[in-house]
Amino acid sequence: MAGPVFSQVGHPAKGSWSGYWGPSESDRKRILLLLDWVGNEIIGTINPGPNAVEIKQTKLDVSTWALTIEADMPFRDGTYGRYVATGNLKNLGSWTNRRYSGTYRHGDESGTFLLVLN
Amino acid sequence: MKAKFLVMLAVIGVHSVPVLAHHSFAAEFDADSPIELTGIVTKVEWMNPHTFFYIDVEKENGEYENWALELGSPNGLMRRGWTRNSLRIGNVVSVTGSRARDGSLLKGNARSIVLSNGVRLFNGTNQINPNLAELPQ
Repeated sequence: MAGPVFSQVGHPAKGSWSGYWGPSESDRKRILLLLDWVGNEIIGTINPGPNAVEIKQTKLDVSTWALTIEADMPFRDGTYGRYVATGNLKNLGSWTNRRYSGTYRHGDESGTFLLVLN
Repeated sequence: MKAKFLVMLAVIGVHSVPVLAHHSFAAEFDADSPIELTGIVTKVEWMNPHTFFYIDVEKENGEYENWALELGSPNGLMRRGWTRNSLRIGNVVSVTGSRARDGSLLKGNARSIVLSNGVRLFNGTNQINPNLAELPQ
């Protein structure tokens, strides 16, 4: 009667991710990323809610779990510019410490980001 | 006889599963430690025996804390008008409730939740038309 049970948990990128991004440790912003796997591609939203930004394009290399996300994000002055984040999904087997980290470019600004699966 | 006993132990072991405790309010939360939090929903867990949702709360220094807030069981909430869309990731919510007795945890029991559109959800009692709870946020 006993048997192993493997839960259907979906794509490793699927879920909500929280963390920070910014050009330096002293200048960083909170970010909430909501990703889903639909129709063989990753879709999602940056900061879902009243200031939501729809992700325009994603690219996933499953050989290295490198994930690139592109969106049109607002600058501090209210204008918009292309935001490109490139990073790697890590600790894919973990429910509590799955991470997505890397670097980003937003207009002239560049920096790093680190997100943890909620 | 010894063999039967070992078989019995094995059967018990096979059928044992971890149980998430269903507890009384007073066992885990302190009604004398009220909390009022405003933040963004980062996760919703529809699970028994208690539903949990998590919110990012900004502190005065600009850092964020992620609070875990307990609700009733999914079945209990659904029977009172909640749907899976009543509380969604990204919602800005204001929560009142009670903090966990273990003050080292960022954990509480949510008594009421007010969404940014004014809709008020109650833990165990949803006093509004359930359809209103699905208005776009």
